[in-house]
Amino acid sequence: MSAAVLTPYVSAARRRRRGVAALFGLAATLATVAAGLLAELPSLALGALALATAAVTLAALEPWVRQADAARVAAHLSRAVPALEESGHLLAVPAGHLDGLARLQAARVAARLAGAAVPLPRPQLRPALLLVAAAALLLAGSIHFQRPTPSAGGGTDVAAVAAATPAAVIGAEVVVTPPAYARQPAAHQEGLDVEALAGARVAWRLSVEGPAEAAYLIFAGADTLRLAADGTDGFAGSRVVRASALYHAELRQAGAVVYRGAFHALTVADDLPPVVSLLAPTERVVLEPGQARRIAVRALADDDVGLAGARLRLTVARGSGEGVSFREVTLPLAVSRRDAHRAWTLTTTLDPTALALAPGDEVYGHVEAWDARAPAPQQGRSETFFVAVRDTSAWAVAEDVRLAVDPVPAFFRSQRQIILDTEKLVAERARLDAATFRDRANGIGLDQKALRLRYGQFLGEEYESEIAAGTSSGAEAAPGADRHDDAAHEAAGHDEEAAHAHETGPAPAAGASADPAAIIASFGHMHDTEEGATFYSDDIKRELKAALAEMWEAELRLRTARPEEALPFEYQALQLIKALQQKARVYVRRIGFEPPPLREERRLTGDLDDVRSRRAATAPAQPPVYPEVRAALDALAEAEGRALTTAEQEMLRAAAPTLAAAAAEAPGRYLEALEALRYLTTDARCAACRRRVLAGLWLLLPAPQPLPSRTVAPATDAATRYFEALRQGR
Amino acid sequence: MSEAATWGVAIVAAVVLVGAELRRAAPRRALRGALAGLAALGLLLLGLQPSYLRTVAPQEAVLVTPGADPARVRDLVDSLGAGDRLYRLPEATAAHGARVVTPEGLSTVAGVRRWHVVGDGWHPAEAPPRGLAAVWHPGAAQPGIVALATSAAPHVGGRLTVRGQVQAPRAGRLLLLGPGGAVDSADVSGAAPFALADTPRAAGRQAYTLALVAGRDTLWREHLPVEVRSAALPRVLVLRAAPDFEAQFFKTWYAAAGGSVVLETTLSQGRTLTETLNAGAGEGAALSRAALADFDLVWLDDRAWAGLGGARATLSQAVREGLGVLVTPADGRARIEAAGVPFAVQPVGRGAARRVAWEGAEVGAAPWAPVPSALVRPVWRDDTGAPLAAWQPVGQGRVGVVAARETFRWRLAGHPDRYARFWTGIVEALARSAPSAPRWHPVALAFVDEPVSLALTVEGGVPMATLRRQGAPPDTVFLAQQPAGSWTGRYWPLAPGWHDVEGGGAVAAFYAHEGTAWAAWRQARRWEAMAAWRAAPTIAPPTATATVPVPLGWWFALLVIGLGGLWLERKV
Repeated sequence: MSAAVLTPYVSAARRRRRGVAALFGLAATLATVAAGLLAELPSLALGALALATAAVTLAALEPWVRQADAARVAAHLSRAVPALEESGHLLAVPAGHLDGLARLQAARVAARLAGAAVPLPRPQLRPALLLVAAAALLLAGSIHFQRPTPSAGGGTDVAAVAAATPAAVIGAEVVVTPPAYARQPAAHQEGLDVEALAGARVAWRLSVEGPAEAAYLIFAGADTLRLAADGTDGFAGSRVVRASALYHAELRQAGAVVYRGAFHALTVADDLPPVVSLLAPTERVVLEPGQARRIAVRALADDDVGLAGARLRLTVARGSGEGVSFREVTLPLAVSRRDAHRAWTLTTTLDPTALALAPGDEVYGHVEAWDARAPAPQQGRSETFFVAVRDTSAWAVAEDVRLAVDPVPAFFRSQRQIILDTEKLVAERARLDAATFRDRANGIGLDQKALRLRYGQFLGEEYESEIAAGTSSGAEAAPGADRHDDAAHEAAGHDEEAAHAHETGPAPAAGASADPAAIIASFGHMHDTEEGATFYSDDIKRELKAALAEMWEAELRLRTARPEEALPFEYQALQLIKALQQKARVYVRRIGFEPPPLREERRLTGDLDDVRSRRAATAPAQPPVYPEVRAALDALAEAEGRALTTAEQEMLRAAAPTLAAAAAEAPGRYLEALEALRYLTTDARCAACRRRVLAGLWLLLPAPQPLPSRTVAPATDAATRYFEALRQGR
Repeated sequence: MSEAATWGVAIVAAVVLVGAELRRAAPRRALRGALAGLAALGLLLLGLQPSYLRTVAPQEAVLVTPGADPARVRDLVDSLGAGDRLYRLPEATAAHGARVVTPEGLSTVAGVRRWHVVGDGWHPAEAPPRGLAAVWHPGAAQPGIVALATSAAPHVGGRLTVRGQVQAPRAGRLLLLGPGGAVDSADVSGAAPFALADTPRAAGRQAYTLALVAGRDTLWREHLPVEVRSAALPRVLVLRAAPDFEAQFFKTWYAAAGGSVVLETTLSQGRTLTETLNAGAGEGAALSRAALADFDLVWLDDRAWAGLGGARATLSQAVREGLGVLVTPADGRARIEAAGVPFAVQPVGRGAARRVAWEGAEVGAAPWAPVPSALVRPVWRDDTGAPLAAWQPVGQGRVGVVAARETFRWRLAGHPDRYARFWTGIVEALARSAPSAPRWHPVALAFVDEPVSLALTVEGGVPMATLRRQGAPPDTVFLAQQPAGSWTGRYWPLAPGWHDVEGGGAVAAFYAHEGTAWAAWRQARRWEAMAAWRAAPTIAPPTATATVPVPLGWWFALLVIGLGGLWLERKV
């Protein structure tokens, strides 16, 4: 019974000891955590270590706790409570083991103990508290030295945070889904350098190691894509891309940047419009009237994504001069994929009958093809091809108008009339005698000559010599006065003196001089230049010359009574003249300087009263391009051999957007410099970065055009004195 | 025992000996005194160890200079027996037992009949007095650039030319690298001259590099910092008797580039249109002497020249004082009166105009060309070699003509660089030069711990120059006056980097390289200095005397005689 009296006191004493043991355990745990932080242990390991430390400490102190048994408590009570008369130990002895006196004394002591205020021992409380305090200080110190220090500007020191929390992107998966109209499957790409078609959706998924609560893709130009956590260990996001850009990944934890990746290029290729190449017809097609030839039209279309459709657009022109009418015709094309490449063959057949083409009509056609781009398809078109139906009728009247001949009554026959007369003469040959036949043929020949000279006016009225030189096969082709008959001169408007000069000039011996032009210049006289007499273009002149040559051939044969042989030349001349008429259909609107009207009353008076000298001062000097790049270059040169100052780093940052824009255009040339510039703005001593940045910025500057500069006179002192003496002696 | 202790012991012993003999009561006192004195004298002379001077015949000595082969030095010392006559320059590698001597101090070393100079020799700025007898034992030639000349003052838009000679160990490609990468290159093999060029893109101190590469190997590379200046465009006055495209295009191009130009075009009698572009030049209203001082170049056609009237004399005077004049004659007159100086031209081709090719591009040309002479210097020639633009000096100025016509068509045809190069050459050749003084003469390559010769041309005394290097306190160099208004000084850079020199109102800069850079170039300079110095020996070597000690045996014998006499005196 007596031992039971002490039980509450034993329990209380042990509780106190356990409390102290817990304090020791706390101190040990704190000290362990502090050491773990300094050793940069992972948080999980740190927690386990703290728990283990606490458990070990408590386990180690448990024997000390249990030392507070009944005997020790009784001894303490004997010392602390005088009323127990140094008999407290009797309470620790079981009642059965006491003799009579001892039992009585034990009972008395037990009774006194019940009414006494008993102070319990305070085991080692103060040292335990001191230890805890010291451990807490140690922990606080370690945390202080371990946590990143906020920078002055309120930003976060990325390097420090990165060192404390090594979050990083350990993998990236990019899926590029081309736009729906492209009908291409989504493609997986390795790495973060992405190539995509404009309008494609690019989906990124970053696998992240380490603590990171947010992930961003920072695009050059301050455009940012926040990636959403995907529930595992990564972040994902997507966007539709329209333009090329540079970007980098960034991880953040508690608002601080804990990881910043390298720059990567997002290269966006624009969907190009189809390129249509015309395979047939490649030359101008001329159909004879009534000819029902079908014309095959073939074209090749290339497109980088896909062709959606194609058609043939025709413009049919009818009429001449001011009376030209147009109509549009659209025909479908057969589209067939050529091969595995992105090329399509477009074919159709043009039927002149279906188009109701009449003589003189012209058809201008081209092939159009469009791709499948949404929302607006892009269109490409081929070169224009031409189809014409020759018109052999109703030209005689029109030619006068078209070629702007003086509309005096015509004393000559038309080419068609000459043909008709010739055909009639040939048909009547059997009924005519030889002399009549020859006279009629000669008459037709004279008509032909009149017509030829009439056209010759357009070439400068002296074309006859050219024809003679070019058609030397006939008897009349020989140079001489017989080519200058009166009719010709009358038609051409020459005076007799001029004609006489031609006739009386001495004929040069063949081969007498190597320079015929010089001989002509020395013996002849110059009329106006044939080539410069008109405003017709060279090809019109060329065709006109050909027509005149044909007329000359026809005339030659008519004048020698060979009308059958003359007919082919007459036909050919008619065709050429008809073709020339068709060309008159094309004209260009005149544009140019419109001078203000002259005031006739002031012309040539020499009055300058209202005219004053004028002065104008301008400053068109162009400022140098890229001033921020030049400032950054100066800063780098100035900081050679030492760390960059904050101001110099700011200059580099100012040049970064320009460099980034250039890197987006040419990553291979500038991306390395941009990366180095970013490091240089955080590490002011990176020498390798400086070289790369310097090279990149230097390449940004445009190559200068040559410029003069004042040279420094290399004059020696003797030269200076010499000229000075000259000056003074003057 | 030290000399003083020996001397002290000898004195004490002598005094004790003489004193003891004189105090002894015995006959023959005088004899004893004499014998004791003789012994004391021997004792004193033994302690004093006297010596005498003797003339020595001149010997040969060995001087170790940078680049010396140690084996060669040892062989020479052994063969000449010059172990005690081995010297070295301060910058040479330390040799065992060698005494340091400067080149200037060689002539003061006594007893040296002839010097054996081993290695590359001395620095050109530190050559000893000429006429010293020497035999030069050069080391092996180092590969690299042995001669170098760069543009004195390259500017943005100008040509930075780097010429020189390279000693290549094997065939390779010499690259000129700018801040942005390679800008020019040339194939070199063995000892070969080279010429590389670049057009600097920005003003400032730019880092160029010369490197020799062979395949994938970079055999060596040398740093070549260059200070690039902004272009100081001459101020141009253009006078035209009537509007023309050539002047209009020139005005537009030149003003857009930042140049000051005044274009004065006669519109009618007494009526002009004056366009002032980029203020800074004079207005050109009246061709007074003061107005012309505002311009560096006057460009006029012959009708404008004819219309100058009385201003021709003023213009001629301005030309003699340095102004440049460019004349564009409109026709083919045989002699063109310009600025008072006949400038002879001769007809070329037929007709009123001709077409020529300049650098492969066609351009119109007047039907004449300048007559070549000793004074006429072509600026440009057409592709057949005929002068297309030329000038000749008149006083301090220059007068030129240009036969090319309608060069503006190059701009219209999309070749602005060709146009700019053509007119840059003409303007730069003819424009008034900037005043030459005061100015610092350009410094060639400079190196740490090697003397840099500074030269300043200035009127008036400027006794010192200030040198500044980034991160270091300024240094002062006192200058010595030379004839003809120039001042010179010498400076030893302490650290690599750009150094700014200031003094006499002029500033300049040079880059000091590390002491190990440009080894071949530095060796070549020392070799040149040695080749120039090895003239006939005319300086007699200083007479050498040697100190010869008197043999101690004589004094010991004296001591023995004295002491022996005293011993015999007691026996007798």
